[in-house]
Amino acid sequence: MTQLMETFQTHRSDLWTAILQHLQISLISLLIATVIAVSLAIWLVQYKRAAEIVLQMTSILQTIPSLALLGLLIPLVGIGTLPSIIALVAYALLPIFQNTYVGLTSIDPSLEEAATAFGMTRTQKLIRFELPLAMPLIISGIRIAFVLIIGTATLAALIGAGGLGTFILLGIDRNDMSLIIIGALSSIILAVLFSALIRRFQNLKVKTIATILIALGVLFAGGATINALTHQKKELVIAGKMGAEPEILINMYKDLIENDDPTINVTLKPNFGKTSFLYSALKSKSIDIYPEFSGTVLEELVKTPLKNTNKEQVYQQAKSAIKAKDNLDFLDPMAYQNTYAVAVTKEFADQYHLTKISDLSRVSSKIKAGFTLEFLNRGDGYKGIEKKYGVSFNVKSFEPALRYQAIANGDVNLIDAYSTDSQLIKYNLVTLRDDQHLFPPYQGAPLIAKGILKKYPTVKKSLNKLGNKISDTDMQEMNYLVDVKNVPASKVAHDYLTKHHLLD
Amino acid sequence: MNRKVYYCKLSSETVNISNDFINKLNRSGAHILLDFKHVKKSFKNVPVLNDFNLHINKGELFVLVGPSGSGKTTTLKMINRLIDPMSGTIEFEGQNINKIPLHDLRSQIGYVLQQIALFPNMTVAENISLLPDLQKWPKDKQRKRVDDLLLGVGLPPEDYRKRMPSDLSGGEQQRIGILRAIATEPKLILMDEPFSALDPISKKTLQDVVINLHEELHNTIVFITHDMSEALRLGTRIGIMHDGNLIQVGTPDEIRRAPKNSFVSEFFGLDQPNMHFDLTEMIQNSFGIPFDETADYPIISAKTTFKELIPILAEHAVVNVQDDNHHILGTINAQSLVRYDASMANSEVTH
Ligand SMILES: Nc1ncnc2c1ncn2[C@@H]1O[C@H](COP(=O)(O)OP(=O)(O)O)[C@@H](O)[C@H]1O
Ligand SMILES: [Mg+2]
Repeated sequence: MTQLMETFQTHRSDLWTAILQHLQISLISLLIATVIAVSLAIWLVQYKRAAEIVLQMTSILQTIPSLALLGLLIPLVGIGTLPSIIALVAYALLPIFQNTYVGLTSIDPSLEEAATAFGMTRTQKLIRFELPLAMPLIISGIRIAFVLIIGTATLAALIGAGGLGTFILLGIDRNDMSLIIIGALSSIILAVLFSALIRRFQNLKVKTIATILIALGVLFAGGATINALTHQKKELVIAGKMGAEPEILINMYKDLIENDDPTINVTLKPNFGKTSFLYSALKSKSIDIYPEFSGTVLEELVKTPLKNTNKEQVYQQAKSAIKAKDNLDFLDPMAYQNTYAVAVTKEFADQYHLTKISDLSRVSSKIKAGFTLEFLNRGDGYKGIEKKYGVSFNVKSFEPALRYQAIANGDVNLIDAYSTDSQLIKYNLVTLRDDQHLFPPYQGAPLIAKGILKKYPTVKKSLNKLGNKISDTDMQEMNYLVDVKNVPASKVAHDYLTKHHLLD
Repeated sequence: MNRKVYYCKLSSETVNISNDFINKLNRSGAHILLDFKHVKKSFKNVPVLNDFNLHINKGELFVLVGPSGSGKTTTLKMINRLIDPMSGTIEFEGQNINKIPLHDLRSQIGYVLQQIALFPNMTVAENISLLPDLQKWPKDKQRKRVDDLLLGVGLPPEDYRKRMPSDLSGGEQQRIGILRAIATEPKLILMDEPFSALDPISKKTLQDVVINLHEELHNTIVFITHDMSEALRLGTRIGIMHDGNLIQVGTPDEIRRAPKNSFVSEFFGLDQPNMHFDLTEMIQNSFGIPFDETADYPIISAKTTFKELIPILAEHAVVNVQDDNHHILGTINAQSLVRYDASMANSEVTH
């Protein structure tokens, strides 16, 4: 509890921003979905067949997993707020449309007959009794939609739209329960508060509701225009994957670039998502730069097998392959290697005399492995272990941060790790030597969108200052400061750069 | 009260004259409000109306009566064009209703439904003033109209204005239903079995409401019912329908005296003895008419049965009733019998 309060105190201003972002995305989505769904329902009450088709379509939209929908939207509209809003609107359509349609079609036919006989027009009917009578159902549809949106909007953090999801993702990544609880709790409180607020709309007159909706619409549209105007000054957007290490790196990029050319304004999007999100975002130019590993470029982005495991050759192969495939620039790599590793607890290693991966074949029946989804599915991950070392284990998949906890609790006894992870020290784990040279060398370097180096000529020189800098221990220490000691990544990054005279 | 005097004057001896008069007027066409000409209607090839011809005069309370499924509702809904005929024409004030803009036509026709169909989201006042409001009457005029109308049907406005329909009894709801239909004083009011879902007591009260309104407003009402006693009680003229055909049209007296066929007489129960028939009770409950010393009406015994009375009334129209001591109890005519019969029918349902 005290820890929760502490975390709350240190992140208070971040939390505010996240709540506002969350609320903004959610309310805009809700507003758009309401306008679309209600007008569609009003229009379609006259066409039963069409209404059923739309109902089917909105139900199908709803069954698409939210993560998949976001993924599908990235190549079309890029990343950030827009795809989040589109996805949230898509989810909110069904409950609102369905409830409005049911509300309007279940009105007593004798009321319709009376109104027709009195010569009332369609609009008069709608305003005088159809919408008022359907209102409780419409409002409950909107409330269901809103609760759905508030929950799903946490995923917006995955594609850089911010919101409370950043807290949850950060919490998972840093294995910090307080952050997860604060994020989840805020989201629940928002849902409950606004759900109660929306219920009050039920008793308002149709005209009052229309006025409120129009006012809100104008407000948001105005806000969006101002936003668009103030953001017109073109800036460089640098994103990073989940975790402390990418966040430290992109803070260094920002410092270096802005130090060399103060006219460039760099925006950072830390904890932006997984590899595929960032790669798509870079290709669609939603972001301009993100740090990537040479091995990942080859394995996942261009999908060509490594010619060998020599680190220079791997880097050169990755650089030319990604240039040829997507015209992306891969700048000079840093010194440290963040390669995959498999780790066991010290006791387990001692008990069975494990030092290298091939030793695992002796104890394969005793192994309960906890791997990240990414590691499970990669050719140079678990699949490679099976093939090259000829062993298989009983495997469960875990979120990256949770697998450390799992091995600490004894739920699993073997996990995958990155060689620079601070948790290796924290949980007293040992990594097993890759005696068959399965894991490719992972050297980090900035991956840059097409045309950026031309448009910002100083960037290449600024970023290459990190070439062959930062050792394995440097990185482990910096990760430890951010992950465990809660030092802001920007401070850690800046300290390193000053210490090594890179900002002169 | 007015109504009773009116009945006396219009009883059978004057009926021939008035019919004659009406026929003359009909030929001039000036008094015809509605004219059905060879109207036919089928639903999915099943004929529902076969060559329907009828004219309804201005100021009439015309009752269309017949068993369920005989085509009454279909006929009524063709007047405000909720249903269109397959062939034939309907004229409203001499003009084909298809040529009148729909909104103009409907704004001249009030409509009262069996389901009452008050808008549940509106107060009593809002329901009544719905049409005035749609016609953009000034608010204070609307308010005054609502209060006047409520008073007219015996509902104190300060009590009822703000109530919701769900807080009213069925009989009160239908009173509001009627007020809503007459709020803008339409030329014609259509009522489709408005009281058939009500209990007998509310039914009787509401029949009185309709009679009084008709007396006051002199508008035209087309009233549908499947209840013959209601038809006889309300109608200035009655049309009897059966299987999509109009079997007979006439005043209550005419129909009672000369039912066109066995269907009509059976439907009106004219050949059935009334179980609870008691002339003394009938006069004591003031179903009779004022005694006129100067008139020389035949005198019958209070013990006369229903069956015996029918031919007597058919012949003499008005008779005096005396008890065993040759004391005159009162005077009755055919209307007295009809209204007594109707009230008996109603109270039988309650027993
Ligand atoms: N919309 C319709 N579709 C098919 N048949 C109908 C429809 N409306 C009425 N009918 C039929 O037409 C006949 C007359 O109906 P209706 O005019 O409602 O009779 P009433 O009002 O005298 O009870 C009935 O047999 C009824 O089933
Ligand atoms: Mg009917």
